Amino acid sequence: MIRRTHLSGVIALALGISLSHAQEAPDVCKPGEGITQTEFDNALTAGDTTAVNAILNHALDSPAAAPNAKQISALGGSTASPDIVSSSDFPSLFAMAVDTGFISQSSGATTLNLNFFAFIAAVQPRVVQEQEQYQRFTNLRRLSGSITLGGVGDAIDQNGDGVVDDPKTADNATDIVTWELRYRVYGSRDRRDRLNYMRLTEALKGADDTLVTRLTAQRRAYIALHPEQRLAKFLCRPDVTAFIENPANRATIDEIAKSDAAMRKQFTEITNSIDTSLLVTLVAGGTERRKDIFGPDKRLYGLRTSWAKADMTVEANLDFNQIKSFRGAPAQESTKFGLAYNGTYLRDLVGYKNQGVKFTIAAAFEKYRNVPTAAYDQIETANLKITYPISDTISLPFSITWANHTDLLMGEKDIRGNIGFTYDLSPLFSPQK
Amino acid sequence: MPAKKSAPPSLCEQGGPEIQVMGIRVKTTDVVDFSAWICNTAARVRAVVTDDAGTDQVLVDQTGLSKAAATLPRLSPGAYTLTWSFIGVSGPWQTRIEVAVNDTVRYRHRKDADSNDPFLRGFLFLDVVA
Repeated sequence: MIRRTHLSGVIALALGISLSHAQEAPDVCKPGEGITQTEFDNALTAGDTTAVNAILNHALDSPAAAPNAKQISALGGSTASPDIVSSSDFPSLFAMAVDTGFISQSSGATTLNLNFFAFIAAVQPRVVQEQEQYQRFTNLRRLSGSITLGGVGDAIDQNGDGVVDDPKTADNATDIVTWELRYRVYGSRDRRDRLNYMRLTEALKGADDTLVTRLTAQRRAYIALHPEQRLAKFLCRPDVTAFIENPANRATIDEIAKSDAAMRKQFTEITNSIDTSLLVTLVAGGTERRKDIFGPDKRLYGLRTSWAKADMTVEANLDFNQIKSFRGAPAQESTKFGLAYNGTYLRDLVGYKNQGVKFTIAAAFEKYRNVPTAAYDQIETANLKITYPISDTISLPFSITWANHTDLLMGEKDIRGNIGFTYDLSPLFSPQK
Repeated sequence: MPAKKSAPPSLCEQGGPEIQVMGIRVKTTDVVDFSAWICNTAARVRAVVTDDAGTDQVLVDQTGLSKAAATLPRLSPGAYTLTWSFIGVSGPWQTRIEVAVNDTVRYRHRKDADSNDPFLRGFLFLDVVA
């Protein structure tokens, strides 16, 4: 019985080998002259592709498979979900978390990264590989944060002698717990998020369909001239070259190349727009201390926004900080709003290598309550800075700053009323390397 | 500490070696299946079979799924071109295309983002005989 099974296996194997040989397509080209479908299509779509490919390399390389974490990236560390923690394989998961950077240690503090999706992806790569799985975690990818256990407290006066003492180091991990959670409430720069990929593919599919129809016509025209290559392993390079160089085909092929280049340009424009679209993120954080020798507890609530376009970025942050009531002192509170605009103008016209002139406009509003270290209860500042490049590494800065209190204008070259002026022309007179 | 495990092969890396061929001959009674896998990105996939007169029949047109599959309609004897195209939105993508006749894979092709091309297109000639 066993022998019969063995024999039938050998026969089946022999038949399989024989069948696979029978299915091997013949190579009808001279040695070294065969080209694949991809090479043939590349030849049909090839125009002046060098510049296009350079743009495209950038466009395709910039997005990571994981979501763009520009605003939601965690400060460090890692975590495991309750399900993972309760599983029997927790030690190996913990080891992996350390290996992959989800848990990190420094200065006696252990930081756990709360980027849940990244941890799930490390455990189960399918969630990145397969789009359906990836899409299941769209909302989870909006959330990130970190928890730091242990570490060093604040430098405070420990014994009431009026002298600030060195900060105390936590003995136990839970003596000092610092946490931060971020949730992206609006926007996505992840091209794999549904809104973004639908925007891209819907914009391009009409042009792609038209191009494919034209390509198919050319493929059919070629194979009609060389029917012996229809079921062969390869197409033959000299025949393909002759087909492409034939003036009767050249016009159509040039049109295909032109359409292909236009599609790639449109792809880059849309991806650039996605990669710089508006993001709004909510932030909450705090520090909890079990003993007052480590200092007061703290809270942070914030709203972060970011938007960019070609040669321009806008960032706006609103933060509320609270240091809780400590040793009889009232709670300290501060509210800060910051707005920053960066833009480059006159590119290709002025500046070193026509890099243009960089404008930065920033404004800040700060309101303090019971904060002894704050110079004023309310601080308002605005700044305009113009940077003019004179070499690859050196620029001339010109800056105008306004503040609602004159003494806040520190470090300015010239002060008139509430306005400070700063400029530095010394690079013009310094020998450049 | 346990040794780091390498990531398991993606759907696009599975399935065996590539089968390079420009076209295949099939009978009118054969069942011809087209399958496409897209890994590590979202993509729009479209597959079309074109007859000798240039008439298209769309087999698949879908976006945002990791697999596209279709059984070709029964074709009358003649020369056909099966074509497919992808629009991938991000790198590093991978793809696997298979054409099976009566459950036997006769064409298998893989491609990945090393080509830095968001527009992946391919074709296979079909000779349908009685």
